[in-house]
Amino acid sequence: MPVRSKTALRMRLRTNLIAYSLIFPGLLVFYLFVIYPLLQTVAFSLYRYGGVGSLFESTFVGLRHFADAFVDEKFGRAIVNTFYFSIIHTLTKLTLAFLLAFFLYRKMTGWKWFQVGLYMPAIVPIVVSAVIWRFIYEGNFGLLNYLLRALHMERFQHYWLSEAATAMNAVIVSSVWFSMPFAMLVLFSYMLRIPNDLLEAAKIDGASTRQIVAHIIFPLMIPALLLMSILSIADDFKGYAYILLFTNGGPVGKTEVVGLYAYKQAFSYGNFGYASALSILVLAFLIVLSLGLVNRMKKNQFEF
Amino acid sequence: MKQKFRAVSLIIACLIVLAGCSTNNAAQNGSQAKSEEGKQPSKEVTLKVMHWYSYVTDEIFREFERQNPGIKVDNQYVAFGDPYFVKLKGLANTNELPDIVALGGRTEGTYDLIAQGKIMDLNDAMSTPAYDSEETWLSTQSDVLMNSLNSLFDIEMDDDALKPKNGHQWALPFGAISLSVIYNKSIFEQVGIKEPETFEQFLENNDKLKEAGYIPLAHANKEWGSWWLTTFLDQTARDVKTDDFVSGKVAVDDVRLREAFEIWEDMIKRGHFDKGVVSAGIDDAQALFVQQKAAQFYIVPENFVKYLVDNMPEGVKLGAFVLPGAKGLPSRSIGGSSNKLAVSAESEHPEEALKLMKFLTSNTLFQLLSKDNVVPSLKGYQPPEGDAIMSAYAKAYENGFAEGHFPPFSPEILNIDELNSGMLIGEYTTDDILKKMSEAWPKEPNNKQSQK
Repeated sequence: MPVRSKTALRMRLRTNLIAYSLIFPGLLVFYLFVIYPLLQTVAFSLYRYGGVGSLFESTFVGLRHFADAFVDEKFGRAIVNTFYFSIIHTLTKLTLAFLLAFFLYRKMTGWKWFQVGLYMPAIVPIVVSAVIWRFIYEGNFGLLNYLLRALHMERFQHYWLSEAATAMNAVIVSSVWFSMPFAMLVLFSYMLRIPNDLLEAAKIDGASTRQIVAHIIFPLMIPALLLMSILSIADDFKGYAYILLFTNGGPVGKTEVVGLYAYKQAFSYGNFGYASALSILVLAFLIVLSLGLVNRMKKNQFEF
Repeated sequence: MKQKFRAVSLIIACLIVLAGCSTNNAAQNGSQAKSEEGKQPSKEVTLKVMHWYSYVTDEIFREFERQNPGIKVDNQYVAFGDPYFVKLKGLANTNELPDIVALGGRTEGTYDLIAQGKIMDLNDAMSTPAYDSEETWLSTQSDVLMNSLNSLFDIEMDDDALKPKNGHQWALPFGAISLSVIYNKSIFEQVGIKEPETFEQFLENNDKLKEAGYIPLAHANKEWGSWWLTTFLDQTARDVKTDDFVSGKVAVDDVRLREAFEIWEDMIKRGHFDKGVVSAGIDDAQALFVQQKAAQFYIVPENFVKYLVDNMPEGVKLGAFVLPGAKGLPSRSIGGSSNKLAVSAESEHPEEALKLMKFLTSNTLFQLLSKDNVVPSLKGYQPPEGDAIMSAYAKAYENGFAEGHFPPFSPEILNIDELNSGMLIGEYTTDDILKKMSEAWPKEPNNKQSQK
């Protein structure tokens, strides 16, 4: 090898060594907390494992768990519940977040106080949120029914968490309450990037507020909305903690989502293998969904 | 050269930091204190106990320590449910199982722990003296609870050689789930009803309470969903044992089971429970009772009686009665064998651990727990003198303990609590439930007939 090439190679190796040594801690954390658990989940999904003792001493079942998932009625029910929850939750959350972000964007009097106030639900711990909302929805002495009675609207009273027709919607409302503020903040910060020139030009041309929102602000916000949609849907499919605390999937599985179902399979029933298989199926779905939405996002990207 | 040295030093520093994050197993195990060079090792022994019983406090263990100098107890309370069993499995996998643990059932890994040799066989120790008596340890324990515990192990364990029927004792019952109905005397007086002596009177009382605008029965369905059903099964299917379903002697849709479900369904249809009962937890049910919206509450005494007594409005008196048997048989408490303690086979101090285990299943301990209204899992129970409520529990205790009368379904195959909840919201009838049970039984791992 010519001398110059050797020197260049050595220089490159030295530069790379420094670079890799600097990112090594981060890579190690990434491997330990993301890659390794993922590989372990794949391994679990191939065995009938109860969580005690060595995995490899358990019964190897191959892809049996995946096959079982496709005929599992309760898993099917959980998927339907999750789709319903995710679609309604995401649409409601983002609509509300967009409207409130625009409200803040208008910078009316006291908007900074509103910004803080509207964000408050996001900082309430999830356990506290679940307890508060359970008492709001409680049928006999809950706040919601009390208000309905006070407004002489008794016919709208329900046992919100005990009735099949109302339980999931009650969960969605409370989920929107604590998840919307973050989306509002992201959309608001995105709105702030919109050049004022565009809006002023539109106003000079005689555009109304509704036309400005519909034809300028909203189209420019599409990448942010798509991003928030991906995050929201992924959270809804992964999440279980809030519903576990709130309704535990009841009544009779009406609010049981896939995350909670997988959690119960692992930690309540001791079926770690099956729970891992369910998690992998959900992961595969989310990867496909995310790739689709990210592609869409790229097409709608604007440079300001 | 300097940069290479810096890069290598950075990598080594990161690895050292990561290595330092590991736990020191020896320091965390209940081992003897390590001695420094030249010093004599301490003779003090530290035992670890992990459980979910909130009434088993540090004071209880201080009393044990006072009676047994040289033994210290590290009391670890973990809330019941997933947090407890996940921790238990984690500790078992890292060979750090506490000396004494509370155990669950099959899905909580109990039989895996036994199969892997992590639980001590107490069979030989049962013939040694009890903690506070010259009688054998075995003879001080409740026969019914012991039989109930061991028969469930016999049914659910896979390894025949390890089953209690082949000479093993893996755990002992801890406390007895003794149930009675606590009621609001003021409401009873107002409505003009008395303590029922028959089940029909009990149902009539409930109807009258409902007419008067009260919720007849508070019920914590989230935690105790199947208690009523289990109580009725003990009436209608008293001669049916869990093993009868396994052996095929009794069908899962037997008429005796149907009868129990019909009694339960009848109470629901008559509106004897709150409409929101399906999502009600202990706190919801307690709140209904304390706010005098509900007139009666079918509960265990430990933790709850004291809460109700302390939080009722001033002037309100409480009473308690043993639930009259739905078929006229003495109403038995649903057994406490679901609460059980075991000793770790990996304990570094097996003798001391056994001593502590004997203490935890002794009359001495249950006398200490009597202020918390805990009913012991021992032979003979005397309630505190003058305590009318605990007297009702004592009567319930005297009637004995119900054994299992339900097919041993694994919750992932058929969840009885979910069926129960379905009945509460009117989604399932008795016919629906029996049909589901018949369909699920062939897939049940505990159904040895279909596994052949």
